Formats: sequence, C-alpha cells, structure tokens
Amino acid sequence: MSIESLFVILVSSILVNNYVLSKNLGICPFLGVSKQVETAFGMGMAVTFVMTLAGTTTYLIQEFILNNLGLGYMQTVTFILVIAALVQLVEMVIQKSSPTLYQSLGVYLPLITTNCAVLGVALLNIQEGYNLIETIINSAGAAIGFSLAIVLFAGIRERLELSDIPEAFKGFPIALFTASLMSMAFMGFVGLV
Amino acid sequence: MMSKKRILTDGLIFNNPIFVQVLGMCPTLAVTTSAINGLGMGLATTAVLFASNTVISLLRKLIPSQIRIPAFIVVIATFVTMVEMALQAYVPSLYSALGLFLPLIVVNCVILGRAESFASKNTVGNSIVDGIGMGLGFTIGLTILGMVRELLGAGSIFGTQVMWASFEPFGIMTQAPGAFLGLGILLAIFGSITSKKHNA
Amino acid sequence: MKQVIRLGAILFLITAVSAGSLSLVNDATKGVIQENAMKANLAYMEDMLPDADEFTVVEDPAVTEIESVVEAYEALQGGNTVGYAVKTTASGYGGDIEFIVAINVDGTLAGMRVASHAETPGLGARIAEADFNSQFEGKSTGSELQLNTDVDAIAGATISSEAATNGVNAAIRAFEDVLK
Repeated sequence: MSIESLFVILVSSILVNNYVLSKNLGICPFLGVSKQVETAFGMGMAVTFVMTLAGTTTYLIQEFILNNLGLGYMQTVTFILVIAALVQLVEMVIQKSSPTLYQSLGVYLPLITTNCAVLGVALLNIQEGYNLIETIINSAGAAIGFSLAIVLFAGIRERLELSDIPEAFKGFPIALFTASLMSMAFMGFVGLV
Repeated sequence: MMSKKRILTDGLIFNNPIFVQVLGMCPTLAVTTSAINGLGMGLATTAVLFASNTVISLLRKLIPSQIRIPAFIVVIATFVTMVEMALQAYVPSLYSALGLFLPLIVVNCVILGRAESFASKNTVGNSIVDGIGMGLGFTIGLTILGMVRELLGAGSIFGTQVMWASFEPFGIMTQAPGAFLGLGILLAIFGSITSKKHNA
Repeated sequence: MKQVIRLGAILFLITAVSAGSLSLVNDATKGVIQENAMKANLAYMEDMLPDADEFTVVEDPAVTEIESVVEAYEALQGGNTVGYAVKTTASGYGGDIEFIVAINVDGTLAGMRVASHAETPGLGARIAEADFNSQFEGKSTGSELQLNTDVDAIAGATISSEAATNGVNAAIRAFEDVLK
C-alpha cells in the first residue's frame, strides 16, 4: 500500500469510476438537489462528511465485530443502521452550526440515508478488500466525485432554466440527457490510471 | 378509502414509481443493461416490497412514531438480506448479474416511501395490494428500459438476437450514458402521452 | 430518560428478531450456496480436462498466497496427475471476474472459463464466449500472455479482455511457481 496506490484509488473514485456518472449511484439526490449550484455544493459537503465517516465506521464494524462473530449476513442491516445514525448526527450538527444551510437542504438532508452512493461505498470498501487507510481514501474520493458531479450538473441546469425547451422535455428528460452527455465525457477518463 | 383495484392501478400506472414519482433511480439506471436483469431486479424489489409492506402494516400500531424510520429500515434490510440469500442459493446467475445493487434495494426510496406513506397508515390487505402494485409498476418500468437498452445496445431482447444481421449496435446504450439517455427518452414519451390525455 | 430507554428497547427487539430470522435463513441456504459454487466449477473443470476422473483440492498454502489465485485443484486420472484447474480473480469493467483456468501437466493451457462476472452484456460479457476463450487453449505456460500479441482482445471491451488475460496469467504463475 504505497502513496502511489492510494493516489490511484483517489483518482479512480473521483474521475475514472465516478460514483454518479460511471457507477450510476446516488442518482436521486443528483437529480433532486441540482437545481442551484449553492444548494448542490452544500449537499456535496454534507455527503462528503457522512460518506467518509460512514465508510470508515462500517469498515471498523465489519473488521472487529461482524467478522469476528461470524455475523456476515448482518452486514446490510448493520451498515444501513450506522448510516441512518450518522445522518441524524450530521443533521443535529448542521442545525446548530449553520441554520441557513439546514433550511436550504430541507428534506434532502435526512434523505442522505437513502443515498445509495453512501451504502454503496461502504459495501464496495469491503468487497475490494481495502484496509483502513484505503477505505478512508476511497470513501472521501467517492464523496468528492459525487460533489463534483452534482455541482457541475447544477451549473448546467441553472443555464438550462433560461433556455427554450420543448414541452415534452422540460424537467427530468432534459436533465437526464444532460447527465448522459456528462457521463460520456467522464468515460474519457477510463484508462487514466 | 381507495378500492383495492384503484390501489393496484395507482402503483402500475397513475403513480408509477419510475415514470411518475421518479423514485428508485439508482437501480433503474444501473441494472437495466439487459431486459432479463431489469426484470429480475424488479421482481426482487417486488418481493421485498410485498414482505416489508405486510410486516410494517401488521406492526403499525406497535411501533412508536419517534423510531419508526429506523424500525422500517431494519425490517426492509432484513427482507433484502433474505432475498439476497435466496437468490444466491437458487438463482446464482441473477445474483451475480445484479451484484452490488441487490443489497442496495434497501435504500430504494420506493420501498421506504411506501412504508412511510402507505403501509404505516393502512390495513394489511390494502398494504399488500399497494406493495404488489408499486412493485409491478417498478418492474414494468425496469423491464421496458432494459429492453430498449438491450435492443439498441446489443441487438437482442432477453438474449435472442432480433435485429438484422448488419445492425451495428449502439454500444453506449448498455453503459452508463445510455442509462441516462434511455430513461430520459422514456420519461419524455410517457410525459407527452399523459399530458395529451390531460389536454384532450 | 425512561422514554429513550423504552424506544431503544423496542428498536433492539426488532433488530434481535431480524438477526434471529436472518440467522435461520442463512443456515438454510448456506449449504446450497456452497454446493452451487462447487457444482459450477466442477462442470467447467470436467469440460476442459475430460481425461480426469477425480479433482482434489491442492492444500499447499503457497498456491493461495499468489496474488489473484483463489484455489487450485489437481486433476487425477487413475491416481496420476493429468493437469490442474486454478481459480483466479481479476478486476474487470464491472467488478471482479472469476476464472477457472485448466492446465495440462505438460505445461499447455487446456482452456479458460469464466465462472462469474458483471461485465457489460454484448461487450465485456463476451469473454465468456468460446470465440474468445478458445484462444487460450494450447498456449504454453512458459511465459505470461500479452493482450494483442498472444491473445486478441474483444473490440470495444479492452478492459474485460485485459482482465481475462490477467486471470489466466495468475494461473500460469501458480502452475510455474508452485504446482509443477
């Protein structure tokens, strides 16, 4: 586990295997919270915090509790409970420290629990057999990649609002076409590492 | 109170989870690389929906409101794990095709959404119908998207080649960009059909 | 305070019931799952090494220590070794791919089969087709194989093809370094 391999994991999770545009994870918030750059950025930060913490915590629980007690089949149940608890915690922290951010994120904050990218990265860390450091890097990278995708998308959607779009395509269809083009662009990163 | 027939058609068409509510997007995009994968995922999700709606409706008077979300999550996660184990044992090909997205059924907003908005407030009978209706509506959406992507991206439907021999498949359709594109097209079509009905 | 304890207790009860029922289902399905894994592999191994009448697991820990090697089986005919079947993994486009590589005792590859994968249908998934994996038959284990030189890649599925080559090379390493 060298600095080089950690760098590969980081670049891979942010660009090459971007969790939203390549792995098709975290789509609900991607489509739901990307109407404005500011909210998207706030969401990205919240998700980054939760994802990195969640990835690390679930790894530790798997290593020291589930594996030692042969409770591998409790993985899904335990992981999602941990994530739900962490989101509650983050909610309380944000509510105290930045009430404006809390207001603008609204219902999307508790919905981070159902963000499949969060559970996805927790499961993938175990699947790929990463150690603790690699898990932290991968979780952070996945979150940064998610934030990148969602902020870029918001930037484009803000401009789309001002364009003339045929009735049938307004709203989700045109958003999805945009995402499709972004996804194709990100495919260019394949083979980077 | 809604009739059982109305509940069913709600889930299948009028309030279809994919085309109307636009929920459960992650598996919709990732697993529809072929028709059979879409169908398999849809049926697995329907099984979980049926089970979780039933149990949550049965327990609705016993679960205190403050812990209802974690309680729902435990119930849903339990059934997802059971479906996982059953598939791994009896349909291993589907199990490996669905991969990561099988445990991810637990965060499918459709399931938690129905638990919160329907099963926790309605009778067991109605909740069962709702679970099946939403599940089948979800399955239909997944299968259609899967068929479109498989047809354009590999020239086949459910594994059998149907396109003419010189057809060059649009490989992109079976990959990530094709998922966004395919769903966008279907939503546009569905949207224009239903808006014509409204205006007619 | 009492309220919190009561809520916690109910949640704990629900989780305990969940754990209990999952443990039951786990026990019920564990056997079938293990059997399936062995059955699938056995069919491939018999297909590639038809002379063998018996397959035994290679116990030598040096085999599994080689990177990407999961397990190795010795193929015997009437008690004599006729070849080996090595189970390897490699990172593909859609995740890990599992291969079973059969090697004749004289150092030629008897074949490659894909045990499990999550590659793109119509593209990377074609590494499981005979058109692709028959290329590996007859190749010598003297040196590791190179994509595009020794083996043709599938058009538009370079990563999957590369993974297949890596999977076979891991088996070659196992044969040359330990099993021979």
